[in-house]
Amino acid sequence: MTDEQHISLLMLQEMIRDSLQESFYEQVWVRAEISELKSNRTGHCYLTLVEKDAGSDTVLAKASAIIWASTFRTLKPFFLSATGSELAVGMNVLVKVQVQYSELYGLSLIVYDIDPSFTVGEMELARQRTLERLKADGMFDMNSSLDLTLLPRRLAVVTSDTAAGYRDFMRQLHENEYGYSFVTELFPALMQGSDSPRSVIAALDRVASRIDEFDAVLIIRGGGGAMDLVCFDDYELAVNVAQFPLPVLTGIGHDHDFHVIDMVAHTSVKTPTALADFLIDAFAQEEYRADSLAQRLQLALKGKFNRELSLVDARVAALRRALDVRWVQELRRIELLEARVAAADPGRILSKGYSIVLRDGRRVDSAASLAAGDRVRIMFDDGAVEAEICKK
Amino acid sequence: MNDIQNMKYEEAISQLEELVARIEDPGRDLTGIADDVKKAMELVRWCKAYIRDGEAEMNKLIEDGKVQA
Repeated sequence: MTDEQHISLLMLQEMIRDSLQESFYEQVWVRAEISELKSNRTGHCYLTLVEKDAGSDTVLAKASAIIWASTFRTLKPFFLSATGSELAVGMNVLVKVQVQYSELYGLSLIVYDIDPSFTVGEMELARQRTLERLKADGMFDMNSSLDLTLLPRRLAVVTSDTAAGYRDFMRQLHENEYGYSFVTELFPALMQGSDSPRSVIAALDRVASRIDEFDAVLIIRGGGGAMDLVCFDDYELAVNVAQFPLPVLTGIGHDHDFHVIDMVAHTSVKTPTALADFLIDAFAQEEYRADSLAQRLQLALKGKFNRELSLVDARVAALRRALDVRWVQELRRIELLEARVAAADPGRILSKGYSIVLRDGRRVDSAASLAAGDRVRIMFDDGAVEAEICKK
Repeated sequence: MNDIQNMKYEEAISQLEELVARIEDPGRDLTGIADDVKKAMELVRWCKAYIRDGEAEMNKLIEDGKVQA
């Protein structure tokens, strides 16, 4: 090999640099995922950008990127106000870069601008893909098909004890105005960041090992930026929630937030405090139900006895009426009999001056039945005489 | 009813609903109604105690003889 056939490294690097500068003399928009991110005291932000294979997650391309402090000072709050989150590992971003090649440091992409709507759009796309996958796997109704006990009193609470909303939830639940008592146990987990799904799944596993001790699992977390809560769109976490053997109740974020695990959970409410109210309302509803049944019982008894008393009164009145009628009837009957007796009384005939003839104690009502020599008894009003028939 | 101590709330409230419906039935005469009423009132007390404070209250009721175990 002759000297003309090789060049120095510096020369090579310079050639590469010049070639790149010629090809990329203008800034370009690049979409990539942030796989590393750190900033230092100088205010510069150093990133590693990657592109992954959609199906396998294999890294296909990788580059270092820098956001100089002067740019980062404006870019950071701009991104935060648009997305509600700061730049973080795992985010898909669309950045405007200047390709830079240094003989010493190699290739760098200098970031000058960012499009936050891309990141938000990518998150939404990812969520939609996750939802479609869950639907295809039949996960949507699994947890909601479980029966939630009418009085869910023993609660496993998956959250961070420093998480926004946990203290509010506990206060709302345990200091409820009705005085209902609940038994809660905290199963700590990270509630934001890329490690959150794994952490929550681990907490769910701990609950599952003591499943008979609880009526339901609650996953709660207060409000946050979109990226803070993106962990609740994680597919693996959603599958764990869907397949969990106890009803899972979620109260995550603010009123407007809705996440994938909300859709596969048994019950989802807007906020941790709303979840406390949901549980308290369950008890209040059952108490109202018991009170209503007690009232119905009282009314039923009162009604029944009143009805029976009315029936008895009616029967007594009917009996009285029947007796009255019968009494009158009997009186009349007796009167008629009395009249007949009176009519048949021989004393009446005698008192009118007539007499009654008896032979052998029997009344003689025909002269033809008598013969001379018959002995008769003649009865008068004032007495009786014995007589003999002398002649006929 | 003899197993009220071991009864689940759902079972108790369901029995109570049935009893009240039976007592409310206008076709039902008064024969045996006293027993039904007694059972229903026990269930009302049990359910309300469970709603209020689960085991503690129920155990107290059982000890006091207001609910048959």
